[in-house]
Amino acid sequence: MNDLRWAIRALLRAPSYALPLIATVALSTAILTSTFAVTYGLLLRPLPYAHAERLVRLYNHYGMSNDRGGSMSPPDVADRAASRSFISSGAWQKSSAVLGGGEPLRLTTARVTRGFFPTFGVAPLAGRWSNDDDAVVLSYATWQRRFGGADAIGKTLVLDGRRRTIAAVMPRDFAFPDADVELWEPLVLPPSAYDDSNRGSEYLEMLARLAPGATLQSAQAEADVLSRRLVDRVASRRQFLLDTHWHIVLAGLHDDLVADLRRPLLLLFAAAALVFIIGAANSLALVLARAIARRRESDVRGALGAGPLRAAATRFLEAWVAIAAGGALGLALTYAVVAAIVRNGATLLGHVEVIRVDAPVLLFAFALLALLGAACLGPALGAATLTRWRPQAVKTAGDTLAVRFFRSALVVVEIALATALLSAGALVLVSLRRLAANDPGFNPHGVLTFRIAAPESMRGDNARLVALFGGIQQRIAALPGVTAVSATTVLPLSSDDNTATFHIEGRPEAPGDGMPSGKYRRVLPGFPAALGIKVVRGRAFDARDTPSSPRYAVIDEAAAQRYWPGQDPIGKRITYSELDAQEIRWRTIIGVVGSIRHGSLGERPVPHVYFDALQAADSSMTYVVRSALPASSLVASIRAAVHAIDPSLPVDRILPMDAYVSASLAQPRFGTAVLSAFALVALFLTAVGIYGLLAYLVTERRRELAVRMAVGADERMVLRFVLREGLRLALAGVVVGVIAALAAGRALGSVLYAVTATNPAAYAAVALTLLAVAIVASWVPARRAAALDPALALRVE
Amino acid sequence: MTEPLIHLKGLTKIFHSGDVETHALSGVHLAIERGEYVSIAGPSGCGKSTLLSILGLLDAPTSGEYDLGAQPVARLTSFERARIRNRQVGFIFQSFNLVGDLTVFENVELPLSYRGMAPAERRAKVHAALERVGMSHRVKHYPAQLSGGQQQRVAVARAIVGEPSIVLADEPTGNLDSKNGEAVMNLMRELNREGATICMVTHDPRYAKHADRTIHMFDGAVVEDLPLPFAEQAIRESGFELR
Repeated sequence: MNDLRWAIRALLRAPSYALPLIATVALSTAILTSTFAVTYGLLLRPLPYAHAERLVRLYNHYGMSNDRGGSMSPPDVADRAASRSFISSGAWQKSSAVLGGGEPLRLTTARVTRGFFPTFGVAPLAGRWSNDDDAVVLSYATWQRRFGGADAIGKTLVLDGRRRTIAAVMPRDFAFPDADVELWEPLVLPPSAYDDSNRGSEYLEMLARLAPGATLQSAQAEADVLSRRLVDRVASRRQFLLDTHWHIVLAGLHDDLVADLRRPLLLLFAAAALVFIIGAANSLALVLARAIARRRESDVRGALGAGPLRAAATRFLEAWVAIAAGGALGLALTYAVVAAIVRNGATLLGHVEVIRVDAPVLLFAFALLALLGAACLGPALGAATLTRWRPQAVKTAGDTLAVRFFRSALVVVEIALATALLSAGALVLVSLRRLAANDPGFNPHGVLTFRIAAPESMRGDNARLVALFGGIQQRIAALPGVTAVSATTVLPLSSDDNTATFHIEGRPEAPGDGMPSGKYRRVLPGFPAALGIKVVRGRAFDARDTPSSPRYAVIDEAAAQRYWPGQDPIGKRITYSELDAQEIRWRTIIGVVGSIRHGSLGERPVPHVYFDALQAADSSMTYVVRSALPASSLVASIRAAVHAIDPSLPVDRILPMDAYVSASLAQPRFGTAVLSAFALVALFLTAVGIYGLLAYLVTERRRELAVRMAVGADERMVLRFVLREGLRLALAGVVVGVIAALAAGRALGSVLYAVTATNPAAYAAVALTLLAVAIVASWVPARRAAALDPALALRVE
Repeated sequence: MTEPLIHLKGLTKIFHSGDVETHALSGVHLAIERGEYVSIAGPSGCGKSTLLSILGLLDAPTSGEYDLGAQPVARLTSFERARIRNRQVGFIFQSFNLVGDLTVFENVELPLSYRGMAPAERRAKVHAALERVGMSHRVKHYPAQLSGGQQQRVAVARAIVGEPSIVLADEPTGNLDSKNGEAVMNLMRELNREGATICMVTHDPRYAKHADRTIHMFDGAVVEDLPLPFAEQAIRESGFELR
C-alpha cells in the first residue's frame, strides 16, 4: 500500500513524465478501442434479430454484371418463398410517401410484405403487427420525433392523401433495410403482379429465414435447382437469362450487410493497431528512461534490504497508475468517438446501431491496458536491477549500451510502423486526389437539384404527368437567374439506377453473346444543357420533341463506341421490346452526348440511353436547374413555382449537384481522413519517441559529449553528432518501414484508385517527411547538447 | 627573454548560483614556460580544476588576461576556443573519459578527426601515439575491455596524438592503484623529457614530485609557486613522505 502511495506521489511530482505517458496511453488506447468498437460492432456483433445467423438475402444475379445481386420481381419472390429451405420470408421496396397536415413532407418509407417483420423475429416496442392494408409501423426515431415518445398506437397519419393507422412502433435498434426508413407500410400488390409476364419487373428486395436443418449451402443448392427450372419457365426470357448467366444467389444477411465494409474496416483496424504499438513503444521508452534516471533510488532501496521487485515497485506502480489514468481517459474518448460515429456515420457505415461500447469492447480495452502494464514491468525491473543486482565487475558500458540498444530498437520500430502508416495514408490520399480529379462528364457547379414525385392519383396517366413535369419546367425556366432547367428519372451519382438490355435493329444476336445493355434515363428536353453534358453528334431532345413526336433515343459516347464502333449511330434504331412481341417500339437514335460516370467518380463510364420523358413520363423526376444565383436564393422561388401548379406537392431532396459529387467521395474521403489522422498521430508519437530517445542519449552521454568538446569538437560538430544519431535511427526505421509497407501493399491495393501500392513518389514523400520530422525532433536535444558546458560536465564526477 | 607558453594576468572566475556568488579564482597570476612540468596542488574547492578548465579553454574567465603562445584567448568565441583546444591542448582526466562506443584506435583518433586531417595521416599519428604509450596491441579493443591503467594510457595517447602545446592532466592517477599510477606518472615524465609542456592537478604529494615546479592554491589564489627542490621541502613539511 505504501508503495502505491509513494508511486502516486512520485507521479504527481513528475508531470513531465506523467503527462506524456498518460496522453500517449489515452490517445493510442482511444484510437484502437474506438476502431475495435466499430469493427467488432459491424463485423462480429450478431445483428439485433432473433437467431440472426439464420437470416439470408436472396438476389437475382446476372453473371455478366459485377454487382453482388439484383432485385426480384413479385413472381420471383413468390417462387423463393415457397422454398423448403425457408421457414419464412419477406420482401420490401424502399419508397417514399407525402405526409399531409401542414407543410407537405416526404417521408422515406419501406413497403413490406406481411412476412417481413415476423421473419426478423423481433417484437415491436409498442403495438402489434397488423394485416390491415392501411396500417403503418413507425421507426423509433419517427415515433420520438412526431409523438415525443407518447402513445401513438391507433393514432392516424395522412400519407399520400390516405389516412393510415399506426399499428406498431419498432425498437430503437431496428433499422432495416437502413436507418433512413421512417416508417414501414404494407406492400400490397394485385394478384396479376405475380404473373410470369412480370418476371422482368425486378424491384423487390428479399430476405428469408432458414428452416430448421437447412444451411446456406443446402438452400443455395435448392435455389440452383430452381434457377435451372425457371430459365425454361418463360420462353420469351429463356435466351435472355442464358445470355446474361442469370441465377439465384443467397448470402448470409450479416455477411451481405458488411460485404463492402469488411476490407476497409480491417485495414483501418490494422492501422489503429499500428498506432497503438507506436504508443506502447513510446510508453515503454518513457518508463525505461524514468527507471534509469531514478535507479539510484532503487539502489538505496536495495541497500536497505528490498528485494528486486520491491526495489523497483515504485517505478512499475507509478507506470501502472499512469496507464490506468491514460486508460480511463482513453475510454472516455472512446465513448465520445463512438457516440459521434453512431450519430453521423449511418450514411457511410450503414447499420451503426450495432456499434456501442459494451462488455466486449471494454474487455478489449482492459486487455490492451493489461498488456501494456505487463510490458512496463520489463523496463522498470530491468533498469532497477541494472546497477544493484549485478556484480560490480560486470557493470560496464555494456549495460548502458544494452539500454541504449533497447530504446533505439523501440524508436526504430516506431519509425518503421509510422512509415508503413504514412505510406498507406499517402497512397490513399493520392488515390483520393486522382478520384476527385476525374471528370464526371458533366458540370455540377451552379446546378441545384430537387425531386418531384407525382401524386398517387396521377400515376400511370402519361398526359397528366407530362403536364405536371412540363409545367414545372416551364415555370422554373421563367425564374430570373435560371439559365437552363431540365429533369431526369435518375440523377448521376445518386443511389438510384435503371439498367436494361435492348435490341439493335438488324443485328443478329448469337446465342451466348451478351445482349446490348445500358443505363436508361427518361429526361425532359434540354437535359445536356442543364447538366453541362456536351452534345457530340446530332442533337439532344428539345422543343421539337413532343408527346406525339416519333420515338427517339439519345445515346452517349460509351454506348456509341461499344455498340457502333467505327460507325455513325445516328439514324440507327433500338428497342426495349421483346423481338417476338406483338408491337415492337423502335426508337431512332438522333444524337450522341458525352459519357458521364453514374455510380462513382472511379467508375468507367458505361453506356447510357436517354428517352424523352414527354413521351413516357415516370411518376418521379429530379430537376436540374442551372443558375448563376446562389442555391439558397433559388429555393424559395422554386417552391413557389411548384406550388403554383400544385400546392400539395412536396419539393424534396433539394441539393446542389456538387453535393452528389461530394457524397460520392464521402466513403473514400472518410477512409482517407481516418487513415491520415492515424498517420498524423503516429507521426507525432514517433517524433515524441525520437525526441525522448535523443534527450535521454544527450543526458546519458553528457560526459562523452564533454570529452568530445574537450578534444576539440565545437558546437556545430556536437549538434551534427546528435542530429546524425536521430537521422541514423530515422533512416533505419524508414528502410524497415518501406519494406514492410511494400510487403503489406497488396492488402491496400483493393481500396486504391489509379495508383499502385508501390508508387515511388508516395514512398519518397513519406521518407522525406519522416526524415524531416526526425531532424525537427532531434533539434532540441541537439541544441541542448551543443550548449553543454564541458567544464561543468567533466567536473561533476 | 622568450614569451611564456601560458601567461595569466589577474584571472578571476565567479560562478553565480541564484543570489550566491562563488569566487572560484581570485586574481591568479601565473606563467608557464614551454617544456615545463607544473603541478597544481591544493585542498578540495581551492580552484584547481577551475583553473585547469580555463587553461584548457573549456571555460572562460570572468576577468583578467590569458595568453596562450602569446595569443590572447580569454575572450574568444566558443568556436575559436574549440579550434585552439583541438590543436594546442591535450587533456587527461581522472576517470579517463574514453568514449565507450569507440575502440581504442577511434578514441585516440577523435581529436584528429575534428581537425579534418586526412585518414592516412590520422592513422599514422594514432599508431605512433599508441606505440608511444605501449598500447598499440589493443587498437581494436573497447575501453570496457581494458584495465584502468591501460585506459589511462590510451587517454594519454589521445592527449598527445595531436602534438599539442600543452597537456593538462586533472588528477590523472586518481582512479588508479599505486603501481598503475606510478606507471602513468613515469609516462608523463618521459613525455615532458621529450619536450611536452605538462600542467597537472594532483592531490597526491607523491606524484607532485614528478613535476619541475609546484603551484599551491588556496581559496582561488596561488599562494606558493616553488621550483621542485623547494616544493619537495614544502611537501615534507606538510607531513607527506616523498618516495
